[in-house]
Amino acid sequence: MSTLWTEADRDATLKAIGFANRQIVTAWTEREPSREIPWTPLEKPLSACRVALVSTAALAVDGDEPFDQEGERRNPWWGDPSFRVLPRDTRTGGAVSWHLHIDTSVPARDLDSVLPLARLAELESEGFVGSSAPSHYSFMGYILKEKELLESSVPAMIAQMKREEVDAVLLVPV
Amino acid sequence: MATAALSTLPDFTRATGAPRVAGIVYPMGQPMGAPGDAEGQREVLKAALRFLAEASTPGELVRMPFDWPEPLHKVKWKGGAPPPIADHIKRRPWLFPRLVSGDIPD
Repeated sequence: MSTLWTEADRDATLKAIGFANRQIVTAWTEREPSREIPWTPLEKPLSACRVALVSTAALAVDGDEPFDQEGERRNPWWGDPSFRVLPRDTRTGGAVSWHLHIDTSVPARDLDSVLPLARLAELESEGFVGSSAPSHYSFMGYILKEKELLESSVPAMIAQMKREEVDAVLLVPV
Repeated sequence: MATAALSTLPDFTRATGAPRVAGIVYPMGQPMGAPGDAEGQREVLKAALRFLAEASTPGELVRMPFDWPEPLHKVKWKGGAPPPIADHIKRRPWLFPRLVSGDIPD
């Protein structure tokens, strides 16, 4: 099924984001220091795992606090480093994407294009996974300074995942 | 917790130290598949979760076996107004190198 990620694949994806973004992403990729890669094995079969999803599409359920777009408009170098929790039964129309860098009409038309909670519920029904976790998570993906994100938001998310006994997490950057 | 990332820019995701990276040649902003394509989204989700379960090497990067129906560079991936940073830099192009180099102003 899965195959190698090739130079042609890299070229196709970079070409699609335009000249300026390509320069930025390429430079940021090269600048990342090499580091030890963390590794946690999956201890049980998928059919026994509780799975949580994480999206960077800046999703907030109806009535929840939006991601701060005014702050970013005031200071374009800043992005809201907070996160939101989306209950497992959230479906299209029940959450809004507060993101100034993507086509937010996509999640408005179909939440599962970015955060596949309906698809995950189907995989739970057919026994492909043990269960969809009670809570799933969204960040806003435009963060140039990661300190608050890494020191505050991510640990809080991990703590909630642990309370809910999550086994496996699929991260879906947009 | 075991994690995997499904990414449309997997070389970048991989460089940040992600343990399992599933690259997908889909447009930015719709990594699971097009709106309304429930069947396609299911296949992507299943493949990504299978990869999460089967990957055995830290930093493993694979390509998901799916292709977008048209060339990616023909897909519009940003709706509405340009993001504030794009306007900001258009008016102050001398700041672009700071964005590229990661020398971010307060």
